[in-house]
Amino acid sequence: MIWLETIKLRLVMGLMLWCTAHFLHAGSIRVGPEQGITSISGATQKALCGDTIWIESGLYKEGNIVLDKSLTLMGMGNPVLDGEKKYEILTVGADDVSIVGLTFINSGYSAMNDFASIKIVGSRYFKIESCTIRNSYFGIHVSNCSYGKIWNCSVEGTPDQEQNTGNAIHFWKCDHMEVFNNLSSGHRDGIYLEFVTDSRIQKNTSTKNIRYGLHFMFSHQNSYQHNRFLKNGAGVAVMYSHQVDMIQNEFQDNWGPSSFGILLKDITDSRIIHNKFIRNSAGVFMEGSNRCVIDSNLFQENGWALRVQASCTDNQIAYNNFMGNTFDVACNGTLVLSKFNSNYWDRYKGYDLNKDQFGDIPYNPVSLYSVLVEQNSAFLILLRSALTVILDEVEKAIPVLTPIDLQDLSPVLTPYPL
Amino acid sequence: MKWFPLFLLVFLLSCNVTPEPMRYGTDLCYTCKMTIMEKGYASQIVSKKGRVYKFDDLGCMIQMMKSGALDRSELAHILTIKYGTDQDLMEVGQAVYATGDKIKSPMNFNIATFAKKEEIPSVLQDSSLRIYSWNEIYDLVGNN
Repeated sequence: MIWLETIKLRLVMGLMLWCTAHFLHAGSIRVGPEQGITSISGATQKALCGDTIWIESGLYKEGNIVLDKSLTLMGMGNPVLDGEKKYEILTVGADDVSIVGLTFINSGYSAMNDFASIKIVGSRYFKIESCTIRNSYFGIHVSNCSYGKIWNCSVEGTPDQEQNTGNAIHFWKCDHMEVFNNLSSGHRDGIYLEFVTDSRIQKNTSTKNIRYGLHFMFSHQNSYQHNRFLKNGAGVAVMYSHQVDMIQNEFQDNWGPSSFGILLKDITDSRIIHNKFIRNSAGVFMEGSNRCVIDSNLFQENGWALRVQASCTDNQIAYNNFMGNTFDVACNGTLVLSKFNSNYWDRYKGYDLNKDQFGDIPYNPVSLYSVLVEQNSAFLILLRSALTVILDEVEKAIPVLTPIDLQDLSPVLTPYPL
Repeated sequence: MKWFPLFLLVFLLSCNVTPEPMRYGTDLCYTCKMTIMEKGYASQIVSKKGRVYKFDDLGCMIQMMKSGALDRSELAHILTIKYGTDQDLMEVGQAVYATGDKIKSPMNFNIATFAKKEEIPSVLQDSSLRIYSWNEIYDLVGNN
């Protein structure tokens, strides 16, 4: 009787499927200059939860559009929503909202409110995909949300209104966010996270932002991978957070008197692995950071590869390549409680007699000259002068001012293939 | 004696203890190392030797003062910027301070400065608004 059972099961399954399809039936509404409904707000008022609103190409000036139902806004042929420099364009306050393929321009500016092109408040399971945002105060502003996705969006500001610009993509009190493959530029911070947990920032490009490419504040258990941070005021600031994974990112050309690739301020138990730091004023600037792992990174042509302040303890700095940096490591005290081992240093002049691939004498990455510069930056005027070479050689022979504990005991002689 | 005017000039320059204007987007906060961007929350200390310390948040300044890194008797000016202005510095003792749900500062200390109570704009006035004197707000900011 097995065949009867099978038929029964199939019938039940079929019935279930039919029911599901029936209840999930979602309507669709078309908006366009030549349609019955010409405004997006009109369509959102008519729509029922779960409906899709198809928006045809055209220019929509509707002030502030409020979305308080679970809807999908789908752009067809790149419709443009204009905030006329007065309004916040789209305000979302519902779960399960998708916004796909829309262009937002000219959102309003306000000193009191954080006006944005897209503001999402208290939503779960939202998705913003393939949207273009130009000339906004804040681009995408997300607060009190869970399980959100921002994919393939491009947010560009106009740099002439420098100080009155907000962040391109801004998160506040969120969890489980996915920020993939976005471009942000010309804003205050490219991506900003405050009180955000369990989120992933991947494959984004942040460039020419006035302050930071990416900015973490009080945001724990997050990871950012495969991102590129180019020519920002400074690359990435990770502050007052723990368990942050920073993997395979590129930090390039973050130049300025106080600029850096990564600023680590009060960071604990985090990992910086397989990143590239190229041509930054300082590759990594660390203050008050403990138990971090800096492993397998490339530091090339930076002013300082690492600036480790004395307030840092128990960091592991290993298997990195240091090549062509003006200073390898600088620190502001003589007590350094971080461990360096098995790095490649292009300045290392040691030898390997026992052929174990490790240099036989330790390498001191902090030169006397870098200590002097740390104490008084006017010493930089002596850069590459004979005096500093003599000073460094004397200090190597009889160390007085440089931290003696700061040594790489097993420097490698050939660079790692990073 | 023909060098005297030059000496005088050097002497005068070295005693310059006037506050510096805030350069938004360029100056770094002395405590948290963040670039100072948001107007109306920044603050500044000028020492008697003329050294200027800038902060992006009043809380950062109070933390720095509490850390003991500076001797209070060495300070010429302790200044804070009025809420809603970008360069309007005033001495901390003469200001009143407000906290509330609508006040959001860069480092989350969320303190706004006003010359007097009556200047607090109505948009900030809700049930969460609290008003403090300088000594009260100084005690309120924790050491962390």
